[in-house]
Amino acid sequence: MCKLLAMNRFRDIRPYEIENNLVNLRQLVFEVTDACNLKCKYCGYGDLYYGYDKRESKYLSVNKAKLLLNYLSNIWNTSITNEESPLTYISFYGGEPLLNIAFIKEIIAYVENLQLKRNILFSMTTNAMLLDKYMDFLVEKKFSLLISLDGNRRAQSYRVKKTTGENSFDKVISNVKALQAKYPKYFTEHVNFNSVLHNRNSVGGTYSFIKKNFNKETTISELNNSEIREDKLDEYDRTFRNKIESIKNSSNCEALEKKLFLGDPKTNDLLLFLHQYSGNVFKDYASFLVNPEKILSTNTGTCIPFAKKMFVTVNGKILQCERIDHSFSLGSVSENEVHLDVNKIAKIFNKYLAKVRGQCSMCYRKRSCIQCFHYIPDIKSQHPSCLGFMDKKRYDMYCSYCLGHLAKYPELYNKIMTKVRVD
Amino acid sequence: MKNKLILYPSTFLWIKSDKGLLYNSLTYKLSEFIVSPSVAKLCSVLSKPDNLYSVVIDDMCLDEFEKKFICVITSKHYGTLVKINYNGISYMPLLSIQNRQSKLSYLSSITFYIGGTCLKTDYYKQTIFPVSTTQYLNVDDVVLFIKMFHRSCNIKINLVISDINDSKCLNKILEAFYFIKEDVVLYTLADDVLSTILMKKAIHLGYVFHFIFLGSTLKFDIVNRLKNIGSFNVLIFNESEYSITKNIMLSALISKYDVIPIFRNNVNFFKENVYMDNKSIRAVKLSKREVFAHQSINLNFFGDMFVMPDGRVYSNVNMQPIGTIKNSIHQLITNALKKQQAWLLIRNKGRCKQCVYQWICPSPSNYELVKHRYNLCNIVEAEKLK
Repeated sequence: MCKLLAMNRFRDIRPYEIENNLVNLRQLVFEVTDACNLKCKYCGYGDLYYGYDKRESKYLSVNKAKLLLNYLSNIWNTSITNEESPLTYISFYGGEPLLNIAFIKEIIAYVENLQLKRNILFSMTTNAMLLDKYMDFLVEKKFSLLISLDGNRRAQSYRVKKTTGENSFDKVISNVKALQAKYPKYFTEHVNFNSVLHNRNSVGGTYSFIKKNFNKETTISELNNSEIREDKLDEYDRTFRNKIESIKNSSNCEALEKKLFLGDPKTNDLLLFLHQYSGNVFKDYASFLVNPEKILSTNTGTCIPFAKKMFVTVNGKILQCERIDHSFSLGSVSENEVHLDVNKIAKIFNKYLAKVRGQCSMCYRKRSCIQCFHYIPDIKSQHPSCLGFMDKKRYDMYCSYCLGHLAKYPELYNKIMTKVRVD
Repeated sequence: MKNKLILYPSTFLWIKSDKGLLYNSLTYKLSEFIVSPSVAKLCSVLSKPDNLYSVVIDDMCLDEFEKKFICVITSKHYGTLVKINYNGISYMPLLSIQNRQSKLSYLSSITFYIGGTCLKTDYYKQTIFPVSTTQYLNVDDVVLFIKMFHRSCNIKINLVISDINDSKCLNKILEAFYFIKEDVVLYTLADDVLSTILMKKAIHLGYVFHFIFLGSTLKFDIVNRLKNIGSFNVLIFNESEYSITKNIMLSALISKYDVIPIFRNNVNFFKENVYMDNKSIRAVKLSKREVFAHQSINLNFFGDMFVMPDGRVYSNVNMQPIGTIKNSIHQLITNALKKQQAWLLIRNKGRCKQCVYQWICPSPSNYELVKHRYNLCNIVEAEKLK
């Protein structure tokens, strides 16, 4: 009974946890510009969606970025971190970040001069259209590069040039091939791909195309399914393709599932299931000392602010992630100062947690919840309704689905337990 | 007829030569079994992760050992026997630690031996007990050391004072550690306390005292005098001291105190009261998490550090130092996590490695380190006599 009571109760987040996350920040993401040289139909900042600041082809002010870096370097250089040699990625995001290369160069030079007491690595998500111009610099700074490519010419046909409407395929392929040819070692070690699944490609086709051409395994995502404009729902539905269905419909489904491993949503769900419910997975040595049934956790699957990253928009808004509505900003950076009040952030965050706490206490999946409250469509209303809520029936179905996948591929158990590290 | 034998995910299966053990971490039941060649084959199939803790068996082809093994599993709820086309699945307990890196959050306590003279013993190698030395830890260095990290982690700080009547030393400690007084416990020998005035001052300031008694010299009047200003550890060497301690504490109306056996040529007392035996093994109630913990860390030592009066830092005072107070706390934690150090000292050596109870037995203790004997156990001896 006591165990049940503890599992039905949740706690608020505390301001010191946010401070601690700032000290141990893993990634700082700058939205370098909201301008882009492509106009992708399904872009999260495009016509299909709402929930973001108006795109005005702005560039993030270098001064604001430097102010934020000063603010964080003060925290980083005066506080002791949990790990001896913490690693922080400084990432450049857009729009297309390479449109504002001046910002990137200046910020990197500035970071290098700050003498931060941590390891810093740079990373970028790019559409590769300007890669031919800037690859030498990216290689010199050992950027971790994530290239967006949806597959072959037809697959790439939603990624069109903004000025002409022409398919970006030829330019992107030529640039990526040039990078691979000129810097093969860098390409092997630092370049990855991501792809969007839609009605002009397939998981199997995209996976094979990128594997064959670049010997890389791309990360394939479905179209973002939150904050879709009401008047665009039909268009969204036409463009959307379900990843599990796409895998199922491939000519050699089982072989593809095996190749994809965690890229297969079912295997990824199984991983989550085993991590949460097998009782065999421990985050670190300290996890052995804590009985998870006796500690109170926060409800929903929302990350505590800055636990994974900090995102700064082109307008200076500070968010906990680049994938959430800009109206959830936690602070801001102006030309003069950084506004981040951890007490206020905790208060607002806890207000949202409280709104769904009743549902969470009744939910059978509360121990492994992956529902970020920012994605609950009516979270700002008085009584929001969680899309991830599971009653017993739905939860049993979820367990059968995960375990059914394991029954089909028993070798996944050993592979997940011994080869996968999720930090 | 062919069936499928499935072990539950909460069941551990261990085999050591011809002896096997089943332990269910939900019901806390354990059963030994004889590992005949036929049972060994079944266990070998069950122990392959890809088989998802199941093995197909043919009723018609089972020998007596196999039948007995299956009967134990089903009757004592370590698993179940199902039809061959049954869809339900299981998985063996397979430990996965996601991150083995050093972390500040691992640190749970630091015990500082301030130094000074007192009763000269080496009991500090078995439990917290003052050391007698002419050396003193530099209190300013200690404060500087603590200030580097105390705001970022939640740790208990023990200060072991050798000479409690050195008022100058005690006053300095009370002043220096005032900023973290809520986290500090002051340890001292109760027999040495001449006056309680300074202690009352310390308690008024918000400090907590822990008095250490030797069972052999325990007296009602000292216990009674100190009972309202601290808690007690009583070190005992035999059963008679245990009885005396119990009586004195009862007379003084003290219900909360710790009795700590100390090893000093009193093997029989230890064999009877401390060593593991079949009864204590059968009383084990370990969750899956706790069994995995035994396989990975030392639950007696993990998270503790000790600083001696010469400034050397130890993860266990019976082992080599992991650095000095001048090192960074991260460096010290990294060293404490090295394989030959105490935090990761587990029962993976010597006779324990051959024992079927290896992972349900408590983590290695200080007694074993002091005795240079890698188990405190009557079980092996009892088995030899069989």
